[in-house]
Amino acid sequence: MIPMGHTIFNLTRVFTKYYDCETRSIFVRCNTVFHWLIRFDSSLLRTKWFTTKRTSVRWSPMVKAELLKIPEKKLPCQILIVAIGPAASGFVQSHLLTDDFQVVGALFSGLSDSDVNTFDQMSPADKNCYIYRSRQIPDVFMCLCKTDVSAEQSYSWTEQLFSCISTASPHFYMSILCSYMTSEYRSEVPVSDMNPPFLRALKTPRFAGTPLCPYLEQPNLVSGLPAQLLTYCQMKDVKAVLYVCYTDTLYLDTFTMEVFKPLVQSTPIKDVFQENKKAGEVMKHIVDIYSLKNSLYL
Amino acid sequence: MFVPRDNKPIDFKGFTLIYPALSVGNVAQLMADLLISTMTMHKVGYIQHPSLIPLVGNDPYAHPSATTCKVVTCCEVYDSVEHNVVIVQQRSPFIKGRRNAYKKWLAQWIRECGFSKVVIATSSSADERLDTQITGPQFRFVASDKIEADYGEMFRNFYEWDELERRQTFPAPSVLEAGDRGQGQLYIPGGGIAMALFNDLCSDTPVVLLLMFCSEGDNIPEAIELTNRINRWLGLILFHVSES
Repeated sequence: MIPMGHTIFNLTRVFTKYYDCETRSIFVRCNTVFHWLIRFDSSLLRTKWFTTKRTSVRWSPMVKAELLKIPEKKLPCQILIVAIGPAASGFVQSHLLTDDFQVVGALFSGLSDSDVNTFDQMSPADKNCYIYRSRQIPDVFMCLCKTDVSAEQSYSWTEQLFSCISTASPHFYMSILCSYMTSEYRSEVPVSDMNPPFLRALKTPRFAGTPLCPYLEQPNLVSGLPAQLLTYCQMKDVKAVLYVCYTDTLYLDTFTMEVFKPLVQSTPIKDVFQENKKAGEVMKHIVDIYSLKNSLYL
Repeated sequence: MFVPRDNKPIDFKGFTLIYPALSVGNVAQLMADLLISTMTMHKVGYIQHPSLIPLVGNDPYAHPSATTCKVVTCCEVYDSVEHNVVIVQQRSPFIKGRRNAYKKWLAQWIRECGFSKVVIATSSSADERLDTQITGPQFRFVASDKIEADYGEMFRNFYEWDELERRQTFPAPSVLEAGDRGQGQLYIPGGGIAMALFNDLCSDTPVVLLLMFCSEGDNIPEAIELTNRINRWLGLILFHVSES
C-alpha cells in the first residue's frame, strides 16, 4: 500500500488515501475507525496521480486472425518505414502511400487537450498513428506517426509496434524519417549558410549502403521516438537507417516535405516507391489542411 | 536489461565496474568518456531500460575528420579485458519518477554479474559544501566495509584521500545520543542515484563511492582530477616520466 496523502472530508475525521499496487485500486481509510471504507475502481484513476502512460496497439480483425495461424505470433516483415511528425508523414502519404496500402493497426499514446481531430480520424492533419500494409506485398509495412509521442512513452511505443511485427527476416530493412528544428542543430557553420531544410542520417552497422546525405555530425543528437526505434534496431542488429530533416519553418510546407524526395531512390524506399503524378497535389492539400489548424488569426 | 552485442554471452566475473552516476556538471560521465577513449575500450553491450530517455548520435570517440557512422545509444557498456575494467556509460537523464526503478534493476544486475569491486563515480554540488570542505582537495571517498578493510588505510595514509564528512541530521541528536563519531548521515546533493546505489550494494558488494565537489560549468578540470585519482588507485593508464 502506498499512502497518498490526507483528505479531510470533515472537521472531525481525517481520511487517508492508499493505493494498492496489485489490484490498482484506491482505498480510503478513516483513521479513527480502522476499516476500509471506500474502494475506487482502477478505471477512475487518471494521470493526476500516476504518470505512467503506456502506448497501446490495436490490430485489425484480419491481422488478428493471421497471427493465430503463425507460431511466432508476429507478422513477417521485410520493409518497415516509420514516419514521425507532420513533415515525414506528409511526404510518405503523398509519395509512397498508394491505394494498395490498407490500415492494419493503430498505436495509441494519448492526446493532449489542444489536439483536435476529425470525427473519422482520417484527415491528414489528424493526430493519429496508423500502421499500413501493402495488399500486394504483405511484408511491406508503413507507420505514419502523427501523434506527439513523448520521450517517456517511446519505449512502450516501440515495444508495442514490434509486439506483432517480426524483425527476424535476414532481408529486414527499416527506415525512420523524422524532422527537427534547425535551432537544435549545432555546427561550426552557421545554419543559415546550410540552406535549410536539409537532411542528415544515422545508420546501424548492418545497413551496408551509404545514405543519400551526410551523417549526423557530432555533437548533434536525436532523442525521443526516432532514437528509441534506432536503438531497438541497433540492439537487434538489423538493417536500419534514420533520416532527420532539419527545417526552420514552424508550420508545414511543401519545401520541408520535398527534402525527403531524394530518398525514393534509396534502400529500402525505392522498393516501395511507384511513380505518383498526384504527389504534388496531395502535398499541397496536406499543407492546406494543416494551415487551417495553424492559423493564428481566425 | 543488458543486451550483449552480437548476442554473445559475456562473463564479467572478477572485473572492476566503474559506474559514473548522472550528477551535477556531468563530471563522472566526462571521466568515463576520458577513460573509454584513452584505453580504447570496446563496446560489449547495451542497457535497455524504460527509465532512460532514448538518445542516438554519431560516435563521440571518433577522430574529428572521420566520415563513418557508428551509432551510440543512451546507455552502453564498455570493457577492457587488458585492464579488467567495465564501464557503464549513461548519456541521457532518467525519466521523471523512474530513477528508483532503474537503480533497483542496476543493483540487481551488478550483483548477478559478480564484479570484484564496484567504483561509483559522482559529483556533488559545491554550493552545499560544509565550511571545512570549501578549502583543500575537492575529492572525497566513501567506502563499504569490504573496501575499507582492503584499501581503507591505503586511501587515507598513502594517497591521503579524505573521507566524506558525515552531516548532523536535523534536529541534531543530543549529546547523550550522539555517541561516537560515526553518527550522522552521508549527504550527496546533486549526486544522482550514487548514494542510493551505494546504500543498496554496500552490505554485500565491495563498493566505493568517489566524488568531486563542483558547480555546473566547464567541468573538464574536475573530470581530469577524478580520472587521475581513480587511475592512481586502479593503475589503468601508466604515465611514463621522461628522464632527461
